[in-house]
Amino acid sequence: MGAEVLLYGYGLVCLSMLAFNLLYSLHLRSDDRRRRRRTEGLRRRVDAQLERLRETRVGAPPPVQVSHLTWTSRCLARVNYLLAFDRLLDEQDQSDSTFQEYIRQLQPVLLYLATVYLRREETQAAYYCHFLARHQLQRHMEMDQIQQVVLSFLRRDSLYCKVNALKALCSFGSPDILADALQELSREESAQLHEKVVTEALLTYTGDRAALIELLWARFDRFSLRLQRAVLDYIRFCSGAWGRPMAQILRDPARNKELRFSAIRYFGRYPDEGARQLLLDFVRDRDPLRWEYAAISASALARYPGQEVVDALLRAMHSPNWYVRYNASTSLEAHGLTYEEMLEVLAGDDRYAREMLSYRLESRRLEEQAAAAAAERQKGVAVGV
Amino acid sequence: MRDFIQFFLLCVEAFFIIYMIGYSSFLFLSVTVGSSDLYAAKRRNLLKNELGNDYYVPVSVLVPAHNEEVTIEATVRSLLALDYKLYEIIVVDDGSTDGTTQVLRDAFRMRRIDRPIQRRIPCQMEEEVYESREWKVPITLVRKQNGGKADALNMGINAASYPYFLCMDADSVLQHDSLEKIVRPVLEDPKVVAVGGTVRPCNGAEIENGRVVRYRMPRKLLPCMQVLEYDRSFLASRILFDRFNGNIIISGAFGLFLKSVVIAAGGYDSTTMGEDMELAVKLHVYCRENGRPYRIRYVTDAVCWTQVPERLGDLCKQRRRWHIGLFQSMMKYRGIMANPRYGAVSFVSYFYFLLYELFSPYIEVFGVLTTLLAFAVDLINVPFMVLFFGIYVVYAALLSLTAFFARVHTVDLRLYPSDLLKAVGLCVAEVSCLRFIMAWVRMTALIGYRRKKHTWGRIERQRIQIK
Repeated sequence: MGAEVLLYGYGLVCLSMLAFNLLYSLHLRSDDRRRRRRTEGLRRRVDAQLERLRETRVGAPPPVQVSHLTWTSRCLARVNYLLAFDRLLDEQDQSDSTFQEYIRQLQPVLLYLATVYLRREETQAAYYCHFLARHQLQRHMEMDQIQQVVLSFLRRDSLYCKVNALKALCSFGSPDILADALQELSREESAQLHEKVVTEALLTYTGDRAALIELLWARFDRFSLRLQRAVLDYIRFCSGAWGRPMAQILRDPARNKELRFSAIRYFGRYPDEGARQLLLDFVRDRDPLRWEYAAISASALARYPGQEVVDALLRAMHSPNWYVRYNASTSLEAHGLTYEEMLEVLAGDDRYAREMLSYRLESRRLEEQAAAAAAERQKGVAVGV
Repeated sequence: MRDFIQFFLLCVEAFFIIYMIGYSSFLFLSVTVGSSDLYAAKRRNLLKNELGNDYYVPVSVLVPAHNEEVTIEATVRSLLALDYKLYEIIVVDDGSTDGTTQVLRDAFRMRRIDRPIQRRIPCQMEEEVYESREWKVPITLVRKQNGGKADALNMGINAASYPYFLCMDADSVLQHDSLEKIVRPVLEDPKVVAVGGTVRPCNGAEIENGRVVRYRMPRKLLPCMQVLEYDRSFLASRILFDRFNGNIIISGAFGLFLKSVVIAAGGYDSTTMGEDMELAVKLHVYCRENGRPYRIRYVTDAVCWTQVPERLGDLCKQRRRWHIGLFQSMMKYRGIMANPRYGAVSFVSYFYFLLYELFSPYIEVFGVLTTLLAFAVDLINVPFMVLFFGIYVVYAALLSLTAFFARVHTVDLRLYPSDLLKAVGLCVAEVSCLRFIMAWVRMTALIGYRRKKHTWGRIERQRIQIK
């Protein structure tokens, strides 16, 4: 009889869940309508303030009404209204000076809201940071105080909160605060962000990149390994002016191999005579345990001219490692050797090298045919027009 | 004798009560956790608690195919429509005897190429390799000697250029955003080595450029019942297991894997029928035995649409294969059972699959037989039996409907009233009829299974409604 009662109990809860599903479905149907209504309500109030600012453009702009600021602080503390406000901002002409003035005067509200959302549950906190990041508030104001508050969002457990807060800081933060942010993120080994996420966020930074990179180098050893990789990738995408510290990483055998790989990639993108010999040494190294260095260096040497490099790459074609051979063949092609020439050089010598070269040759032909076909199609379209 | 039978039936009754309480508690817990998880995910998406689209992880999409000339072109075209930038498509034709290779060569203007394939996992030899660079992403076709689906996947892994690979079926369609969604766990947690996506029946759905433009419950009853069944199983157990890294199955129709770990673990086992489950369990074993921190994740919003069998014969064949695959994986990795080193994977996931998946058909048929015995010796309270069966049917139907509605509402599918009626009516039929037929099929699956171990499961293919 106990089992029966338990089943009745479970059934009752399921029935409640079913009822919840149905009610939720009805709620969803009216959700859009409610959001539109909220946006309209906000629009009326914001438009009134914009009108007020426009009317007295001559001389110093009048302040936005205190009552409006108070109402906005109260209203936007509710996440559904913040969503509606987000939508409203999307519809505004961001370049309009009156609108920018309005946003500038809203700064105390945004600061207040930052302290409110910092205490909210993770999803709402993350959304607030998303809101700040999206509307690129750096154009409107000096956000010194809010930067410190947003830094605190990085301490929340939610991954999204961390990512959105980092993006917000990249949107309006100073180099100092960004370096602080990376240090903050380095603290928890268990909650490390993926290096791609960090690099992408850093790439959205619109301030002085050189100043940021300088600071990141200065604090490099305080970052976790994952973030160090992200920083090196960021530098690689941004600038070729950091050869010296990169060379130090490349030369230092005590450094983690992933960091050294990043440095090799950097020198592949920005050729540097100082790195040439080291890259050649890596390619010539036949130690199977160090094949990754050889493979990445083979790729990096594509932009280093000289017979010595070609000879090293031709020798690398005999490597037992597939990736080394593949990258070497691609780099040799970049050096202007046709695959027919390379095949001649290596003829009868090594089956694996021959196979790889002939594959690269055929791949190149396929790519050329594809490009020709695309051009043909383009021509057809143009003629059609 | 009668006393003995009475005692026997008493023991059976006690066993079934414990078994039922365990099962219903598990279902209850998983459906409630699953539903709440879906609603939380919807809320998270609304509040932009998600990673953006720019973090592209390179993925090789592997499509093993055997006699798929009817569907393969549509499948590859749907893959070309994915909202993702960094991927390649590798179709492995596992010795098809129909025009699979020819269809692909003609449709995508593929050219034969002498491509060396690094054989890091053993598989049958390649016969021909074709490539095309004329499309959004590179397409490769490897035609090889027949060796089964697992062998074809191993070939795909060997040919893959990228660090992650995604396996799928040749008769499936990935939703336009599925690749972007399935890689998110990898970005969220660097320890993730595999991610399972959600598989949904596409019978009845109209798909345009990877987007579902019209969704109806399938016209035929059998696929309709499978829609309910898929919702229940994907929503229920997988979300719950995901909470404690306990998923020991990633559907072969849609799963993402870290290539290096799969290669280190030995790739797919071509001697088993359930290669998808075998690989997931193998990854648990490999990572735990080698002390590698890992996560196997399941994501609800990465969706793959697949054809489910429309004929009972095909469905029986499919389920037989699944059951044999389950049996082989459970037997191969029996060391996990009650092994504290495996934690919840052992004491929850493994035991769940053992008791409520592998043994369930035998237990259910045994239950029916003992009911008949009790009836024969007049030791059964018929009204109570009918009541109990009624409660069971209503309870299971309620769970199915809860899963169904939770899924429909949280992915913004609009249902027609006739579809609702179908769902309500068929959830009862699914629980009270189809389930017992499947129990019988699964129970007899192991008879003579050794003879079938290298074959591809064939079901009659329909052209997928893709525009």
